[in-house]
Order: sequence, then C-alpha cells, then structure tokens
Amino acid sequence: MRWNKLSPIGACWLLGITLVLLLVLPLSAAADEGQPDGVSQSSQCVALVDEVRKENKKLHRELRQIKREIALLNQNLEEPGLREIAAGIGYILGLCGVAALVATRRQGAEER
Amino acid sequence: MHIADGVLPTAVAAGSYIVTLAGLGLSLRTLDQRELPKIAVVSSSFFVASLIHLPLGPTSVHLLLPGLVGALLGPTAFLSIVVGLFLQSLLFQFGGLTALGANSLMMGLPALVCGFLYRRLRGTSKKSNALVGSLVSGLGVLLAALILAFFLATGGESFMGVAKIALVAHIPVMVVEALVGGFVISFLYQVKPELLGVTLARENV
Repeated sequence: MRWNKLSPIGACWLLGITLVLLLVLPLSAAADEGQPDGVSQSSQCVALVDEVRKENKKLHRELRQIKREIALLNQNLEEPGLREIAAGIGYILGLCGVAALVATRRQGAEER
Repeated sequence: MHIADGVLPTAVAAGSYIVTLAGLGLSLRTLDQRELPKIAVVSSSFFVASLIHLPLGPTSVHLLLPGLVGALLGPTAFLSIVVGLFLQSLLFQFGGLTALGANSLMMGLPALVCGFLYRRLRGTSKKSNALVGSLVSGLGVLLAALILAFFLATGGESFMGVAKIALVAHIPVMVVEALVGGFVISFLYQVKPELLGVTLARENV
C-alpha cells in the first residue's frame, strides 16, 4: 500500500488506532504502578535494604572490634611473660653455677 | 634502648662483635670466682630490669641499669651485661642477635666507665657513696644514649639528631635510675658493704 493512495477512511483508522495506543499504554503503565500489590512489594524492598544495611553496619563494627582484639593479643604475645623471665634468670644462675663448678674443680686440681 | 637486627651496617656489627669478644675476654680474666654468686644476682637483675617500663607520652622507656651493674661488679660488669643481653635477645626479642655486639658495647662500656668512676669517687661515708652511686647510675644512661647515637650515626643517621632524641627520651630514665642507684647503693653500703667491694678493698690494703 502506498501512502499517496491511502483513503481518507483508512487514514482516519490509522490515526484513531495510534491515538488509542498513545492513550492506553501510559494509562496501563500508571495503572500497574497504582496497584496496591506493587506498593507493598517496593516498600518491602526498601525495608529489606534498610535491614541489610543495618546488619552490615553491625557486622562492620564487630569485625573492627575483633581486629582490635587480635592486634592487642598479638602485642601481648610479643611481650615476654613470666615464663621467659623465669627461664632467663634460671639460665643466668645455671651458667654461674657451671662457672663456679669449673672454678672449684680447677682449684681442686691445683691443690692436688 | 636496643638496636634491632639489620639497622647497623655489617662492618659495624661485625666490628662491635670483635670488640665485645675482646671485652668479654678481659672481663673473664678479672673474674674472681668468689664473686660468682654476686655476678649471678646482678646479671639477673639487669636481665629483668629491662622489663620495667616507664610510660612516656606515646611510647615507653625501660630501666637499663648499666651504671648500677658497673658500680656493683667493676670490670666484671661487661661479662654480666653480655650474658644478660644475650638472654634478653633470645627470650624477649629485645634487639637482634646480629646486633648483640653493638648492644653489649652500648651497655657494657658505660658500665665499665661508671664502675671505674664509682670506685674512684665513692669516698668512705654512706652519703658520699649514695651520691656518687646515683650520679654514676644517671651517667650510665647518658653514656648509653650517646653510644646509641654513635652506632645509629654509622647507619647513616645524623649523629646530633639521634643523640638529641635518645637523650630527651631517656631523661626520665636517667632520673629514675639515679634514684634507684642511689637508694640501692646506700642500702647495700649499710647492710652489706662487701657487695660494693668495700671490705675486699680493705682486705687488699
């Protein structure tokens, strides 16, 4: 069909259909949004996102706290404890004991 | 105040090891076996003293006691300090093993100087002993800080800058050690003067 051969009635039909489409489509879309079901869904979504965000924040805080505790623990582990102190003193006394033993033996050998 | 591993150039670390070994040999030659228990006790005190931390602003500094060790042990102080530092580096991770020579010199030389000065200047009264003891204890920290600055200067830092920081950071330690040293020496002079070599000196005379 050529446009220049279009009859007036056909043109009217075409215009009418186009108008109807132009009117109906936006309306139907608006009707979709306006449905009560859709509203509750979207508000639920928002609430969920809020919940997730809150949860995230809480976890973040806890994670930071745990990290801090780990750092503190590491620091405490690096610091020498009672065991190391006792070990060191024991080493020193033991070394001096060995030295005293060697010295007395040498003295004894000289006296003989 | 400990030098960590890898701070000093290798040549300096090795050189200080050699000097330390020489000092250790000399120290061992002057060792009197009757003094062994005293050496053990003083070494243990030196070993533990570094755990007594004084909070100082954002950081903390700890007692060093080179002056007191020197005053108590004289020339044998070097041996005591090397043993103490060796065990500290093994058990407390204070200063590395490769820097042990430098650390020993840093503490040992002030101890020798302080011991010498104390024995020269202490006089015969309790007061003069306490005074000289506390002065010498403070001087030990001062000398140690200067030697620290010298060692770090060989690692490329500027001597004056490091010396200034080290001295300022150790002013409270100096004060505390002077108090501790004066108290310990006056107490020992009263209750057990032979620990300070007083009666030994009389025997020798």
